[in-house]
Amino acid sequence: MEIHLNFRTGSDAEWQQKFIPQYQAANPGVKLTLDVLPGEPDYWAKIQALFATGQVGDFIWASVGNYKGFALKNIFSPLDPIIAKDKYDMSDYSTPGTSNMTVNGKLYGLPWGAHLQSCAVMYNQDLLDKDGVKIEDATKSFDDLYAAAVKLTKSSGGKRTQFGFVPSSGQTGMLPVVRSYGGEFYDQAGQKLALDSPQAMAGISWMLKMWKDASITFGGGLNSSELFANGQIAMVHAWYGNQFDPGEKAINGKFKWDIALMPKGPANVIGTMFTINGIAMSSITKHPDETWGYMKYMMDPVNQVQIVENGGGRPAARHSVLNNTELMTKMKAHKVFVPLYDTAQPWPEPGNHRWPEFNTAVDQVFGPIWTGQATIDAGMKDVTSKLQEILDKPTA
Amino acid sequence: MQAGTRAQHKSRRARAENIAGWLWSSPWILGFFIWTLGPMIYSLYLSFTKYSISSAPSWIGWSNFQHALSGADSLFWPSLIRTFTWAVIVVPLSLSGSLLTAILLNQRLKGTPIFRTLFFLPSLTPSVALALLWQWLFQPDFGPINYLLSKAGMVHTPLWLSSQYTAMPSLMIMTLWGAIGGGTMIIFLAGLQGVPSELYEAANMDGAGSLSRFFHVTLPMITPTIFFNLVIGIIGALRTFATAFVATNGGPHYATWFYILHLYNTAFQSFDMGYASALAWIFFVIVIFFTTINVRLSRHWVYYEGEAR
Repeated sequence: MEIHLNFRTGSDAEWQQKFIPQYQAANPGVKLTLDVLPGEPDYWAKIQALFATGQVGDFIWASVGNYKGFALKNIFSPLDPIIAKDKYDMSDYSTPGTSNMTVNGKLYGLPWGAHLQSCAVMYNQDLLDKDGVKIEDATKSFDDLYAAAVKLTKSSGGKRTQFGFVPSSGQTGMLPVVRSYGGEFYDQAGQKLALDSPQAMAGISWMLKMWKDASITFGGGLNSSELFANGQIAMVHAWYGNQFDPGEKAINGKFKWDIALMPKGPANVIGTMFTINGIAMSSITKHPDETWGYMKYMMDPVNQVQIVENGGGRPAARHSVLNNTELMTKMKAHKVFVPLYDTAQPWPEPGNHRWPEFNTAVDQVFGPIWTGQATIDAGMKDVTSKLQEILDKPTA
Repeated sequence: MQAGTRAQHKSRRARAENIAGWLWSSPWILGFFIWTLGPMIYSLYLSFTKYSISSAPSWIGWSNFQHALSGADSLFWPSLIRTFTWAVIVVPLSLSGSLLTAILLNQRLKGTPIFRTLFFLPSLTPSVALALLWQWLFQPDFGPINYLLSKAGMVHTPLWLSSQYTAMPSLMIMTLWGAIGGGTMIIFLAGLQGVPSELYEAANMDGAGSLSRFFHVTLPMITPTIFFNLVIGIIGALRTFATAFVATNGGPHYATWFYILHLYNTAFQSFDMGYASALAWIFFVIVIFFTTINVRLSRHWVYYEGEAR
């Protein structure tokens, strides 16, 4: 029989091309057909449309971007019954991994790929050495990181020629910093904006200083990974995927580089934002057992290690994958991020499940602040009103 | 053959021709009903519903239209005004630039064919590639434009697409670069070449100078071409989407958040399909309204050869 797999375009789907023949060889009688759909946010519209017409895949790649909303719309099937029937051992899975995939007490997906968003610093060791900056000192505190970034920023003829630190943008870039200061974007119910708290404002002020004094122009259409690979950026606000993007392939030995965690903030925590690229089962699948078979195959630690080592995805939120010796020794970022996985702070789901819309608005409303065209006070009034308007909308 | 039989024969032939005409047109007509009119009617129905694809539409009457027109959607009116501002500036500039270029390329000079090709080439650039190219040109830190401006002595070079104040003008420059030498210019060129030369000879004999010939011979004779380009230009300008989507994603701070981009995000990011359908129908009514006004006003300034006045 035939199982349809829905994946977004990119490395996630590319790796399916390798696994499908292997799985089919080991499971004769099961044919896997890969349907590669556009990237987010179009991916979600496509999944909804396919579900409405009864054509959605049996197996659906499902990141947290729209995961909860779709689970509540019954597009995904709860996995608890099949896990119980199969006596599948879930003990290896990390608690943040499964709790982020649980909606109203039911597990709707498996944490196939997990990362913590921008909670690290990717740095050009050669540039740091040239200015006598030690990364251990720079990452002692947020103030130390700012001071190092300013020292590493160079100008010539009134134009910056080297950038000390490029922050990440959007909620995925800002929230880890805001959380390091003890703030949040909104309350736990995801209904009331909390960016006006002193802690959140302190985190935002820190980011503003970086954008103003050490970074490229916000929204300039530049790819900071490319600039880093060209040796023009000393430090980048990094996430797990940055070890591949740009990665050694693009840097090509031009300079030494590495990844270190961001400092602990005033709240005595390295802020994180647990993000899962999950896998789910369609609620209208006619082949739940076979679909479940492939889901287990995708979660198998041996396959996981292959995917992660080759940049095909992030590590599953399973201890046997996170603590895998090969990943720990061969990969720059893995050993840096893993200590934070078990205590990672949760994904911030808006109460009305309009996360893509909210995240788009974050860059829109913060843009004038980061470029200095609005003062932080005037800018934040606008931020608050626009973002609260989205949180006040009915459920998507 | 008797007159009655002849008339019958003619009527049979006319009927047969009529049927043949409908049959030959039927694929297009069928396609229009299935792929255009049918979905339009369904979207009109959806505009009166709350619909997010994954569940059945539920009837809510005029709520979607009220939500838009009352200002409850804080992006509706700004995006509409922004789109109209865009059209009011870009369309005249595009038309006048294209006409001027066509006039220049209509001169019988050596190398004119080469220049015609060079002017036309930018219009062949797909809008996504155009946006990416200009994003690089306008890049505030490394882009060639700011590099040249700083070499020329400018201390504070513009932020171009990174500033809410210069993003719209930047998109206008991008659009005009591709538009001025494009299809509009080609149509103007055809119009210019259709002006009877006897009129210019007569004007010359009466002692008319080049400016006089342009305003009293050329312009009146190409008014149908101007009218066509104006209507198409307005519709195209109101539908602006791709360059803003790729170059700025509607930013910074919604400065380039055009109406169609708002519709797209409402449908495919927020999944408010019912409301997005309402936005589409509001836009349709607006375009029809302005096109009708254009057609009505054209009677006063468009001259068609052979038309009795």
